[in-house]
Formats: sequence, structure tokens, C-alpha cells
Amino acid sequence: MNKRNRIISRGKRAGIVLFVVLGGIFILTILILSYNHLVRGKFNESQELLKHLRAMKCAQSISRYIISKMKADLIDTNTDASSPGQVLRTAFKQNSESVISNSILSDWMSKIGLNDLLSGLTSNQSFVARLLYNVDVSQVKSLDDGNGFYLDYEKSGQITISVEVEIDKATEKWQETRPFRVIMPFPLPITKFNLYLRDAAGGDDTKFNTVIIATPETGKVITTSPRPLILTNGEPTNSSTPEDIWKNRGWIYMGGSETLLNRAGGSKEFGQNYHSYFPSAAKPITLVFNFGPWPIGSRNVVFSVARWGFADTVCNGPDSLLWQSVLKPEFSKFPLTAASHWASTWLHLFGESPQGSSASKISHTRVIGDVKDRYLEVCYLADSATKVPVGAVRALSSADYNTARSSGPSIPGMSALFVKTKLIESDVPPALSLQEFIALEPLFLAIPWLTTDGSVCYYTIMSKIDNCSYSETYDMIAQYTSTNQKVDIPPSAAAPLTSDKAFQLPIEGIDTRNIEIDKIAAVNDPTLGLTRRICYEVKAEPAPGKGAFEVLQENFCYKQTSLNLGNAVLRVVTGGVGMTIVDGIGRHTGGNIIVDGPVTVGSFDSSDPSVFDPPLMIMAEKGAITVNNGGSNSTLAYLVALGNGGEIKCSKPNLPMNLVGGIAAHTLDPSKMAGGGNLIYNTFLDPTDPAFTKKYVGVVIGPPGGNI
Amino acid sequence: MKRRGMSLLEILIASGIMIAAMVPLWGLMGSSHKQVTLSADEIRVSQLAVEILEQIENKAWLPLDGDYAIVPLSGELLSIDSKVKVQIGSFPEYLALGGKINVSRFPAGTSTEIGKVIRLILNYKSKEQIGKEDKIYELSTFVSGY
Repeated sequence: MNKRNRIISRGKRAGIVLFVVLGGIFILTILILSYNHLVRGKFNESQELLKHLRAMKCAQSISRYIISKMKADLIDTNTDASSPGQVLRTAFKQNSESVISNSILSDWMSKIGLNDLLSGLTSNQSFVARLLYNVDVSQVKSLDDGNGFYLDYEKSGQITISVEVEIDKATEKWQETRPFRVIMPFPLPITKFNLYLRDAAGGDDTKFNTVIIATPETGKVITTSPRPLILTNGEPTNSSTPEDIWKNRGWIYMGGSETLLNRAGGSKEFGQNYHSYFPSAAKPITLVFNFGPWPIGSRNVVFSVARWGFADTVCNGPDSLLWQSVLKPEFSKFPLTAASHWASTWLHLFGESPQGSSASKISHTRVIGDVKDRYLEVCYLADSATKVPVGAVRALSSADYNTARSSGPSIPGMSALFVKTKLIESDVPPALSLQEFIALEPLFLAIPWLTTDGSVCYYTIMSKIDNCSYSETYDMIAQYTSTNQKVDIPPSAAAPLTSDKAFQLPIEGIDTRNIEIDKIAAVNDPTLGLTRRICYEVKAEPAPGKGAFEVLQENFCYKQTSLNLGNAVLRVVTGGVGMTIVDGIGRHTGGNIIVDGPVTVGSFDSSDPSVFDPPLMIMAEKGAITVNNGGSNSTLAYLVALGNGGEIKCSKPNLPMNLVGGIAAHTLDPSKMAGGGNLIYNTFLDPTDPAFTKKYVGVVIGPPGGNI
Repeated sequence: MKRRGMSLLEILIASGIMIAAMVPLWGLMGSSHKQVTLSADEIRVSQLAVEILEQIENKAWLPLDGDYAIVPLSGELLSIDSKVKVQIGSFPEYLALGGKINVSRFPAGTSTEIGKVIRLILNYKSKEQIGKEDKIYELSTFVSGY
């Protein structure tokens, strides 16, 4: 029994070792497989982590690229409507948040190569990458707080860029929010003019007209004599308008080419938009002629001929012999006769007619004593004795004439404003070589008052009348008198759009009928409201003064040699010490630099492809702007020094100052510009010009999380 | 005697089975360990890559297009093109880091360059692969010129 039991017992234990070993192996296998599974899980997890890291890096990079591309495009000067900068600028000029977002997303962001960038960032990798992106614009707020003068597109807001990158199902999203500002970098309406002086007269009627001629016979200028600035509105002169004639004769030259004084001129086939002022002390008026094809009665009216009309003082005044000597070529060309001398005392600023290649070029504006008008007058040359006009309007068809004549009622008293005779087609001096003269008096009488329908009309304006002194005339260069500081100009006249077809269009967001400079900005604001548009403030530390420009060079210059403001407004804080802009500087992009002290502007480089483009403004809040005029290149900026004591000076007064841009100053002392020079208006500084807003409206993207 | 022999045989068979089973299991464990090590090395290298690229981004390094060879050393400054230096974090010596930075403008073929695509390619040796072919880790970023 015991033996059998032992056998059974031994038989029961048989295989236990094997069982234990197999069980152990099984458990060990389970443990090791579990460990392996865990390790694999961790490995996969770490791989997933790396994919997330890679996706995040891609999203950050793409977001960074979008912001950078946006900044780059916003300073692109390409005017092609389909260019990225143009598309983006157009989008930012909208005022609806959703419209801005959608425009950026569909018109710009889809075309900037984001998928190409993703491919570049993930090249040589085996995983699949996908990209999603979005733009959200929020908190858009107009800059107009009721205390300034703003265009309707000037605003601030926030833009959020969202980028989502998926790499093998590992998705990462990156959002970046930036503030933005849309601003006009140049102040209206000053930049409509090439010269604006707050205190022009200063008790000196002669001002720039101080040139001393050696002898009447030679007409040559004494070299040490102060000479005038030559003001040129518009394009450079051509061979038919030799500036040199006028430079040396103490005159301010306001002609140029097809763009005329006071920016009234259009160009080419769309005619001119002229102002004409008529003598009535009680009711100064202007006649706004628009010779585009739109208004009733104005169609096809083309003032085509520019001729000299010699003032009575020139012909009969005490210095008539001097004038005849000085103007010898003109007197020779158009000799005075007993029967007719040209009694016009108006300024003649007629543009060229595009309709005839032989049409005369623009005449020059003479600013001398006893001029009756500052701006364009109807070309109306009259015989002093008979008052028979001898010139010169043509190309008004009879049909258009009749249409104009019947378009409005006659205005009582208006006839007194005109020479009471008609232009006639006969007795035209052969020298004029004019054809098709047409009587215009009925046309003028029929023109209505103050219409707002775009037709030709008379309109009130601040113009002074009658005989003006030189200084009064001079004041009016900026359409701004010393006694009447109200600028009240019809929209199309106050800020005439420079694109040919836009004469009759309302100016964007502005009603300039009652623009008063004091309402645009406080009288004591030397920046005319630009301080509210400052995008960046640059502080010169620790060394003020010249150090300020070094800060600019480091941060707002392209290759440290060309100003790269990106159409923004910068304020340089120097503690009132001021700033010196070094010689040889150029402009990569335009914009506005406001300095809290006096500014010295160095010479400009000669590498600029255009003297007009891009436009630059330099403002001194206090003190003067001194131009280093010793170089061979023009100063390419609009200079503003409107604070008390603000003036524009030359570092070398006996050398000419050549400026392309404009001047707005508190005072201007011609004796500090004895060398004369040229002041050429830069139409690219005109903020109401659509061409300007297309290219140069300032859209500034701020730092992440910051304000701008 | 016969019964005792069978017990021994059992043990021998069990040992055989044990050995036969343990060999692949041990291999499996080794493989797991290897993966852990490889993964740890890759993570460390990716951290180093992120550190290098972030410093390059912050310094807005915009060199000429091309390849720039680098040999990062643990805890030392890495001079890339004599203009920019980046601090390298510490890492095990066995990684023996080397590699290059590939720089290319973006967008390519346009007149306006917005910035550079910087591709950091790091070659390293894993602890588990000493003497064998280098591992490669690549990470890219975009450095803005604006």
C-alpha cells in the first residue's frame, strides 16, 4: 500500500518541474512582452512627441513667414493691382473686419506660397504634412476721435494669424496676434502745396524778389544778390520753358509743365481744372473751370494757348524801361503797339493743349508788384485802350457753348467781373497765331453759383482780390493768407485728384469745402495732427543729438544707408537736442520722421532711381531744419518746421538749395537762401491722390502682444 | 533507478526548454532596451536641435545660401560662420554630434527675399550603435528678414 502510494505520489510529481519551468517561462514571456509593449508604446510616444515638435516648428515658421511677408508686401511700391502689396493694402483699407479678413485670406494669403514653405521645411522627410491657415481681424477702430482730421480708412485693429500643421496625424496649431494701424503719413492739406508759410510776409513785401540786376541792358544778376527760389509745381520743365530765364530775374516761377500752380491742373486729354479769382472785395469768388468731359458746358473746352500779358506797371510804370530790357525777348516776340498792348495784369498759367502738337507750352507766372491775381486767370488779353480782347480761347464748339450758356441763369452783377467786351475772332495779333476764337462773355455770365452737381460754377473762396502786394500774393501760394486762414475750397479744387479721370470724384473721406487748418490740428501743433499717427517712437540714448540718427540707422535703414520707414510715422525723441541726418543718405521706403528738436538734413545720395519716389517727410517740432545744400544732389523730402521759430535754412546760403518735395515752415528768410534754387513739388506726397494711397498709405504691423 | 533517471531527464528537458525560450525573450528585451536608448538619444538630439534653431531665430541669422558645417561640443559655444555663435547644451559624449546647416532663401526665384529656410542636419551616434552608421536628425525653421 505504502509502496503503491509512493509510486502514485511520485507519479503525481512527475512533470512538475516541467510545469513549473513552462509556467515560469510563460510568466516571464508575459512580463517581457509587457515590458516590450510598454517600451514600444513609449517609443511610439516619443516619436509622436517628435512629430508634434516638428509640426509646431513648422507652424511657428509659417506664421513667422506670413507676418514677414505681410510686412514686406506692405512696403512694396509695385502699383500693379494684382501685386501682393497692392492687394494687401487694398484689403487693409476696408473698414469691415470680416471683409479685411476675407480679402487677406482669399486674395493674398492663398498666393504667397505657404505650401511651398511647408514642403521646404519638411523636405527629405518621409511623413505626410498638411497645412491649414486662417486670418481673423478684430477690434477695428477708427482713429477719428472727433478731435482731428482723418481719412475714413485710418484705423487700428488686431490681426490674428492661425496656422495648423499636421504631420502624420500629429497636429499643432500656432496663433499669433499682432496690432496693426492704417495711417496717412503726411498731413492734409499742407502737402497739397509745395510751399506753405504761416508767417510769410514778415513785413517785407519784396521777400524773394530781391534780385539785383547789374544793368537793365544786360539783365544780369549781381552774383551776391539774393535770388529767389524757383517753385515748380509738377513735372520738370522742358526746353520750351527755360527756367533759367526766370531764375535770374527775381521771379518766382510757378509753371512747369502740365501740372500747374495750386495743383489745379490736370493733364493731357482731360484738360485742366482751373481756379480763377475775380475782383470783388465784398464777395471774392472763384470760377472753377473743369475741362474734363463731364460737366455740362465744359465739354471740349480747352484753353490751349498761353501767352504773356504784360502788366500795366511793366508797360507804363516807372520801371517800364527796365522791364522792357529784362523782358527783351518777350517784347521782341510780342511787340507793343499803339493799337494794342496787352493790358492783362493777370498771371497766366495756361497749360498746353493736347489737341495740337503746335500748341504753346505753359507760360510762366510772374510774381511782381501789382499783380491782380494769384492763380490762373482766363486767358484774356485786352487792348488797353479799346478793351477789345485779343486772345485767346479756342476749341469751344458752338454746340457746347450754347449748352453752357443755357445751363444756368444769368447772375446779376457778374458782368462787372469781366471785361465788358467779347473775345473776338478778328484783330488777333499775328504773333499769337490763334484760330477759332469764340466770344466767351455770355458763357461766363451763364455760369451758375455754387452748384454741387459737378457742373461748372462759381464758388466762394478765401481768395483776396484786387491788386495784391507781392507778399499777399506770396502768401497765397499756399492758398492761405495772413488775414484769412480759412481754406474753403470746393472738393475737387481743394484737393484735386491728380489722376486724370478723377477730377470729379469725391475725395476719399474728405469734404474739403470747409477745411480750416485750425480744425485739422491745433494752431500750436507743429505736426498738423501727425502726432496722433505716430507708429514708432525712437529714443536716442544715451547720447542725444547725432546718436539719434545712429539709432535710426540701426533700426529703420536698409543697409544702414537708406531710410526704410515703411510708410510709417516715426517720432525721434532727443530731449529737444535735435538730430543730424548724415550725408549721402537715401530712401529705401518713404514715410515721416518727426523730431522733437531742430534737424540737419544731409545731402542725399545719387543712387535713387527716382527723385519723387518714395516720398519722405521730415518734421521738426521745434526749431529749424537746416539743409546741407552743398552737395550735387537735390534734397528729396518735404520739410516741415511749423513751430515758433521754425524755418528752413541752408547750410551754405550762397549756394542754391534744390529741393524735391516741398516746404511748410513758420517763416522763410530769403536772405538765408541767397543762392536761390529750385523747389519742385512732389505729387507723390499728396495723400488724397489714389495713386498715393495705393502705394504709400501706411499700414504698420506691430509687435506681438503690443500696441502700435 | 529508472524513476530517478526520468526526473533528471525532466530537469534536462525543462532546462532545454527554458534556454530555448529565454534566448528570444532575452533578444526581445535587448531590442526593447535598444529602442529605449535610441529613442532617448533622438529626443536629446532633437532638444539640441531646437535649442540651436531657436538661438538662430532669435539672432535673426541671415547668411548667404549654402551649407555650413558644424561640430557641436557639449556645453560649449558653437561658432557657425564667425558671425553667429550659439550655446550648446550638455549631451553625452558618445553622441559625437556633427552635421551641417543648410541655408536657402525663401521664396526662391523671386526678387524679394523674405527670409531663409534653415535646415539643421545633425549626425550622431547612438549608444547602441557605436561603430555603426551615424543616425541623422533633421529639423527646419524659417528665419525672417523683416
